[in-house]
Amino acid sequence: MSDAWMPLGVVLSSFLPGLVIFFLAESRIRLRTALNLVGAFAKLGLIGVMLWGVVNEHEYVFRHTVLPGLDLVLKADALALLFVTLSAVLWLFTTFYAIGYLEGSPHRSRFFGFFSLCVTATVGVAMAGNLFTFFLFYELLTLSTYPLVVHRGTEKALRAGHVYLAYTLGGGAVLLVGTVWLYGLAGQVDFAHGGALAALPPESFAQLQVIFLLLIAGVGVKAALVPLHGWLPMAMVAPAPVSALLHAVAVVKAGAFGIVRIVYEVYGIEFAQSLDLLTPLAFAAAATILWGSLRALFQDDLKRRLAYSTVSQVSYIALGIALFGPVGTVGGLVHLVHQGIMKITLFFCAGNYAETLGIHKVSEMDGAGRRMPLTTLAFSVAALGMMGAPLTAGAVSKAWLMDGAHAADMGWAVAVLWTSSLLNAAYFLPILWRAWFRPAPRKWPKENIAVRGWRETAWLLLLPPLATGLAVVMIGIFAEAFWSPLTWARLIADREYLQ
Amino acid sequence: MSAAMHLPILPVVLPLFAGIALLALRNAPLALQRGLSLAATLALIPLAFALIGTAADGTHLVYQLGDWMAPYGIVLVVDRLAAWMLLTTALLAIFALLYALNGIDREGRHFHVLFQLQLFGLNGAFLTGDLFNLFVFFEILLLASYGLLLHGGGRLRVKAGLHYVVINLVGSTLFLFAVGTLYGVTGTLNMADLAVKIAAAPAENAALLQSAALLLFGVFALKAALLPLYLWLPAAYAHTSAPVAALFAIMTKVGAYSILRVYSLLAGEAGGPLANLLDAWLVPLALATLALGTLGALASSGLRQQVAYLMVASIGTLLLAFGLGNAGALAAGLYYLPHTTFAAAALFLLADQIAQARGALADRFESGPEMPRASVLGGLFFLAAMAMSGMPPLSGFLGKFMLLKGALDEPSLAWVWGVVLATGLAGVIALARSGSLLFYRTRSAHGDASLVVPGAGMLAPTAALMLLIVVITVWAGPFSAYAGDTAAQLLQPRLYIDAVLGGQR
Repeated sequence: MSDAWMPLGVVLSSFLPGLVIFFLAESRIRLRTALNLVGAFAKLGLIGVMLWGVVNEHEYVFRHTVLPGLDLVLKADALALLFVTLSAVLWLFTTFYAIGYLEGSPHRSRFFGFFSLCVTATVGVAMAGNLFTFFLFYELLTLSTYPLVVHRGTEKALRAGHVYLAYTLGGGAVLLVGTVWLYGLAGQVDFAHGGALAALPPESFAQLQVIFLLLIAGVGVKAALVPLHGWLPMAMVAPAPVSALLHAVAVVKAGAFGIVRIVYEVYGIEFAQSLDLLTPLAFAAAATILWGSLRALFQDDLKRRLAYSTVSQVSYIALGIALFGPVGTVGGLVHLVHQGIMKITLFFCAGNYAETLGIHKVSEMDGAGRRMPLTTLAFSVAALGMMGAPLTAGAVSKAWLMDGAHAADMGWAVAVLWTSSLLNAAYFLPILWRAWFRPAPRKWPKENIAVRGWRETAWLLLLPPLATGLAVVMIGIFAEAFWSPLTWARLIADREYLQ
Repeated sequence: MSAAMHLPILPVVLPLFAGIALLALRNAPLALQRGLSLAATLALIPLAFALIGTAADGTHLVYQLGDWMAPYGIVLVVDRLAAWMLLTTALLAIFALLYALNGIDREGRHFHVLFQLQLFGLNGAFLTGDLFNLFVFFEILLLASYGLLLHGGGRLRVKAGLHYVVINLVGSTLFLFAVGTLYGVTGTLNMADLAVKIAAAPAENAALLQSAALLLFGVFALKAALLPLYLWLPAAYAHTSAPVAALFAIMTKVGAYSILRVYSLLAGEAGGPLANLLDAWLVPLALATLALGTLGALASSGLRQQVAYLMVASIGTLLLAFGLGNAGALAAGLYYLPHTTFAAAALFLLADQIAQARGALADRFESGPEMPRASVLGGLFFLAAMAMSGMPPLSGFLGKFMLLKGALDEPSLAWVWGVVLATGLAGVIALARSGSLLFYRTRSAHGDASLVVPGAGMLAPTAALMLLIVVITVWAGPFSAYAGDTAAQLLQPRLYIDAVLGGQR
């Protein structure tokens, strides 16, 4: 079959437009938008075809030998497509949102150039077929998001950028150590169901444990595992579409996805369990869940509160994996998607409050719901989802995670999940209460966009959060439908555990 | 002798004749001088490819000047390593020269003459099989480099240049001492012959030979800017003109090349009293150079200075690979060599355009006006910074990956990995700080007329150097295979010795 170009096409569909965009003059808005959208739709088209193929047990593999024994492999399997589809769809929404958000501001060419590179790196991370390829795109992701974090060019942005870079590159270096060590020990190992390391001689098991620690620490920086999470709240100085990207689509997800790949397809879940590697991972995840939620309680800055919420929520994914059992796996994988959609909605809304009314703090949210009912509706749905309220996506993830914890006989994990839900409610409900039930102030901090009819803010800012907010409810209600993320996660879990 | 047999001498005599002709034509129209200089430089590229072609299968092409047999006559030797160095030099030179045509070549006299003589010295140094001729070619390339370094003048340039001249004169004197001692003890300076004689030297000469060899190492280390002899470099490179700094990216590699060539022949496993002489020195010194170069880059106050320090660091990486000395590490170093040469050159050219585009602020790390064509300059800077700091997916990363793997079985594993990874990290952070300051922390320029818009004549050579790096990356397979073959050849000095001395047996 000569369909090996398709995974490469998914990568190039954002890389090539990105390259061109760098060289476009600031004023070429239409051409830039057209390039972005053509790239995004081409990507979605390719993904659609491959989704169909993967359902029918086909895998799309592109392989290029870089050096002898060192292959660049892009592989579209069920797990890759879970992440690729998520990021491609959310990228499309974020592109619309960013166009609206940055309207009239300078340096848009370089912004959208790096924006495209960032998505290129993300889909590369998703489709990487071995650790080497994963590492390449993982580092490219760091490099392409750094200019987005410092985009505003203020002193504060530059400082946050340096912190971000130090953390993520440090993680990259640790990941590289683990990778080269593993290549030295086991040769080139492609990602495969059930992993490929169990066949190594038992003398090397101690080394494999250390390597596991290195690899997880390496990707744990991006996944914001405590204590490697310090960069995430600082990176909040970035423009809202960038935050959305960091939290929901690209960086944090790349880290969490790395954990998934390493546990299932490098080590194999059963081998990882036999090396006693999953329990420490579960503890790290649980600590992160609680710590993130606790810290979120005390943040007055809206985006910082959301950032700590991300720290907490992303570790649900790691916890689900560490629960060792198909049910927990489904819970972790499906939360990868659900958290993305919920979190991007929250960041879109936070951006809307800031752009429209100048609201940056929770304490300024009084009455925002009356001024911006649609935005606040979307925000409320996503926030309720985060708490795990019925009929939302969050309820589905939480139910599967709880069942997974029960199935694994890990009662403490259930307690962690319940505690976190209560904490989620404690830091989200006051925001909703302020927005809906407190009287509006006489004057907003900085009103930039006036109301026009039912349009509380600019079109392009309003529609993306409404769409993703709707999705939060739809995938919650129709979780059993053939197109739902849950169905896909179950397909993956079946394939990972049947090997 | 057929024409093809004269191939090895052509890369030496072509720039020499071009230089002499340019001297004779010094009053001719500028266009003619430029055309001649360009044509002579361009011709080196197919020549280098032809030599790669003959050397690739492992042949040592030995050229006896005037048909005097080795070890008595002057001998040029083309092996894989020499051809590799020639190709790197030729590709670098053409783009440095193209950049100079933007007007820098008019700022002083004899630019093109000096440029050709520089190439004459470089190519000769890579080809010669004789230690005394190596000294001669070193002198030639140094004399040319003194002129090029000071080309265009300026107080800082002359001051920095003066240090360079004095230090190198001391180096030359020591070189002469070392060569004299070796000749006195062994009666030969032909490198192949030296290798044979030294291996068989009686024990009472061992100390003398060792001290001469270490002295020689000191001289090469000075050229290569190895710690603690690197202090001349950042000042000299930061203050000279951009195309000269770019061309000089290969100058430090002459030192690295000489270390590799001379010590793989004389101080390998079978080196008698010199066997494994450098083992205790090279790796620690290279690691320290890498670390201090990176610290210098972190502390730099301007972009050109920063690039110069990063070049010092890259020499550390290169000599680290040579110092580890196993086949894998050597291959990594040889693959990394053209990469780091092109990356440093591209960054020097870019730093010059950035300095011009910022007017009076030049390349100082201060918040300044927004540059004209910032997104093109910024895009190139992003790419060049990735290359220079060895970030994936470019060839610098592949070289480092090979190096890390090559160090796996070495006793110095922990040091090598720790320093290489930490300095890589610090290098990216240093460049990211500069990039974000230069391109992001800006104020509106408001029609400031002192800002020079970088033209296509400047951008194109810079982009072309980056394109070379992309080529090395995409075709990493064949390039690294060639580097691996070269390493294998170097680890068997017998092949070189037999090829050179074969005629008399």
